[in-house]
Amino acid sequence: MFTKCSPRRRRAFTLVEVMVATALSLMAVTVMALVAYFTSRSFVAATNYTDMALLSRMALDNMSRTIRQSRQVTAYSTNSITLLDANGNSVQYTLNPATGTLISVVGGATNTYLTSCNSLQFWIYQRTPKSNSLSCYTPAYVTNAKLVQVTWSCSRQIFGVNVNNEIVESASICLRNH
Amino acid sequence: MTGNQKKRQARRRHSHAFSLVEVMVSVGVMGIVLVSLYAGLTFGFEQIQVSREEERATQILSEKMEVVRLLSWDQLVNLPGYVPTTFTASYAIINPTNAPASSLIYSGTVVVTNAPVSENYSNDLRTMRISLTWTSRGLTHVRTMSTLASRYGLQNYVY
Repeated sequence: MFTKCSPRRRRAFTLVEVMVATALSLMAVTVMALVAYFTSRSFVAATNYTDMALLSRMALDNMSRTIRQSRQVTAYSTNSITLLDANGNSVQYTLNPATGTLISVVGGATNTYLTSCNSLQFWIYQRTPKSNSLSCYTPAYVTNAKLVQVTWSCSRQIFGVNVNNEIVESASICLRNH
Repeated sequence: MTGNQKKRQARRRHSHAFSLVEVMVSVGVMGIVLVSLYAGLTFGFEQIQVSREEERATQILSEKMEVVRLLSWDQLVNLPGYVPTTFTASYAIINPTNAPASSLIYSGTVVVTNAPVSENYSNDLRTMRISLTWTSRGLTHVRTMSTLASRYGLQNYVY
């Protein structure tokens, strides 16, 4: 009795085999897609972090230099400060919350200082340090400000989603010229 | 079909599939590669968080040092307790006075000592050392910043 299958019959797949293979392939493709998505998102987040850290550091260094050499604070709000710089020119730093842009206005000329800025806050303090605390008192008048503290955070969206790639800068700057 | 031809055909058909050992070895190699890749990525992203914490520590130290510029000689030397010996600072700086409970807390110490110089002006110099300690992922980190404070100073900060 001849029971061997014909070669053509052996080359085909059964329905169950095809279904199992399809399911396994779908799972494999889904896993690979997820791995690619999250890995690329993480790499973009890390790259954004480095880039924003560089830009924030440059902005803070420039701002610190200007504030340190300034003669006086002439106007102040939580997201804006105006100073009289070493040359007697008015210098203003302001955050535009709508665009997330920190701008500087020097002698009437407006420059973009920093982008992707979510929040920014200035604090001003007078020169007398508090006892038993390395901090200073809030001044009664803006022009009495001797110490300026600034804090901001920057972040970017990836694929339209906020991810944890924010960079935060903070510094206290003493007006040496005041 | 002769007997030899049947054996060759059977061997060829047999060689089209993978043996269990081959599959296990290949799966094992792939597993090691994937785990190594994952561990490498995780380590890299943890290092970013460590650098964030260290950068924040540097910010805190710099901010405290900036206030030191405003201390008078009396406040620094002759008024015990005017300069705190300990302080705490939060990793969260957007809202530092109301930081989240999960926020990392830095513990700081301040030490004012005689300056390490033997010249005759040594009594007019002090060394101020501010240290920060924090624990992250089971590891304790310490960063220190120090400066010399002069009685008469290079520049008069008191206007």
